[in-house]
Amino acid sequence: MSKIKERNKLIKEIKEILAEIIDIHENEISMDSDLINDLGMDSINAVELSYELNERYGLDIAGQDFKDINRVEDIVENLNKILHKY
Amino acid sequence: MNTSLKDLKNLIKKSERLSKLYNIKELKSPFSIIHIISLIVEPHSEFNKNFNPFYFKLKEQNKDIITQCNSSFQINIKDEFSNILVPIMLNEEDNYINLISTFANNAHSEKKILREKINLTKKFISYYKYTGLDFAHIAHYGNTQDIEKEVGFIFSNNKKGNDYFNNSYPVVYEIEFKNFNTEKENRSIAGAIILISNTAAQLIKNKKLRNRKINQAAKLASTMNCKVIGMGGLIGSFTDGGKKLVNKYRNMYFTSGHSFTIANIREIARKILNKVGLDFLGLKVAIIGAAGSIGSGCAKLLLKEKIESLYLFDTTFFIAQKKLDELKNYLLQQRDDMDILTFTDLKNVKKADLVIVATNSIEPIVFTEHIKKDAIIIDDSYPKNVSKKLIKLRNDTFFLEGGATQLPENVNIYINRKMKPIKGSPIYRLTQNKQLYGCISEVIVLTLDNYNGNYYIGKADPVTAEKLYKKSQKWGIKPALVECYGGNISKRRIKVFKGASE
Repeated sequence: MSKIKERNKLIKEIKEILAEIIDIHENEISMDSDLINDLGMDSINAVELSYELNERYGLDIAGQDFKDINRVEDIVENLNKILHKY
Repeated sequence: MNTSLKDLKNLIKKSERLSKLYNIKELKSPFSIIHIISLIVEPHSEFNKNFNPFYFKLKEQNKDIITQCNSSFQINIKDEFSNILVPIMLNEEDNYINLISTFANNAHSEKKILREKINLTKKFISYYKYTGLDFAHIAHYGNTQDIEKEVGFIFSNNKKGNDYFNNSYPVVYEIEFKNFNTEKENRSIAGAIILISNTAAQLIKNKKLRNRKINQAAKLASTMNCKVIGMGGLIGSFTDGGKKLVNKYRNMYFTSGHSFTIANIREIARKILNKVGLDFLGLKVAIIGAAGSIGSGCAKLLLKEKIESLYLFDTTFFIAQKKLDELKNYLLQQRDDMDILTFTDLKNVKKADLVIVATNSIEPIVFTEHIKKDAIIIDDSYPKNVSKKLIKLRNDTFFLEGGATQLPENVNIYINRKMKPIKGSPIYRLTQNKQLYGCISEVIVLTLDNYNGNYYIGKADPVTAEKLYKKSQKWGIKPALVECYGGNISKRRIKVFKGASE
């Protein structure tokens, strides 16, 4: 799969996961959405997201693996790097 | 081992007879029946003398209950009866029968027996009128071992174990407090403690499960006509401080327990500092979990104290730094003479003299390398964020429960069932030392004050915290110095600490 296709697939999956966790429709989530201000993510949602990412991608990531996260795009970029590193 | 059908029939017959004889027609909830059953099953027990209101009623009438209550029933009939009541009240009898029969050797015959037991119980509970309860407190268990102690069998990590945790029903304790006194009033209140039979980890990892279980517990409280609903453990965090429940259950008022807890943590800190000859002046304080409701609330409350530095820690994925920055900016707007730093790892906790821990972590995160010599640690997390092992390793420090409160000595408490020995469980602690957690203290204080509204939902608020703390003092509820996983702090421990730090 090309890098662009891989990235698009990841974006789709992250949006699906976030929609499920935060209880909103995927269409309401854009790459630019701010996790706290736009999506209303709280600490329980954040812990759920980490469990879900670890389980789905077979990872063992910790909080400090994710730096400067504000928007959905930041999760995608960080995860993309981690997945390629693993 | 479960009760036989014959035993249950016999017990119900005796209970009805006893109720007729002593004219017991009105009860607070169906769970009050356990008190009557208790008189029959174990008439002479110390538990009845201490925790059964009917015991005194009968004694006052100078009747010899023994003649009515001599029996050879197994004591666990009380637990089974209580467990059967829950699905009946939720109209989920079929699910309950399917769940319990899975664990029987002969599922088909067990189903038939359970159906019969449920029908008998339904008919029996219709004998009484129910006046309703003042409050309910919804909480959950800390770990699987605690649930195993409660339900009496070991779960293996297989399909049956998973089925149990997916479909289990809450464990309910009915509880009555008498003799809360002020100069003008003498109050008695009654409520239910509803323990969702899942661990913090199971609930945090599975949103659908926790939504279903929390709704089940709230529905149960609603069927018992409970007026004020408190939240323990992570229930407040799961429901956005109760906001997610308010619109669904308009017949009840909700309170998150967070606001009273932050005031209690501050007062526990003040009390222990005072005991060891220190105060807040010039202190370096770390708050772990500062992005959360309790942690950020503690930080705001501590603004009033003359501490030197405030270190805000949070390791929550994705959102920690931003939340910490927001909190830091808020705090600096209120007070710019304080040294405030934020961290997303725990390396610098070691700088602090006082460490407050309040996170959603389901396992210990504070280890010996994080704690400076002679520091004081207050852990409000449930399950605990400091491990038993750490406490054993570090006797130079204090590890205190953040939420512990002490009820007045003259308050009498009646509980319908014995709590299994689960250290840290609110009821177990209550039966031992008349001590509670801050979250349940909040619902009790509000009930005593005839609370009427949903004002205490959402995040911990310092103004609300001060009000609640003042109310709690009026009713004689005080912060308690209790060691994590242990008992009250002894004078000897304080002497040793003072000697070591001099």
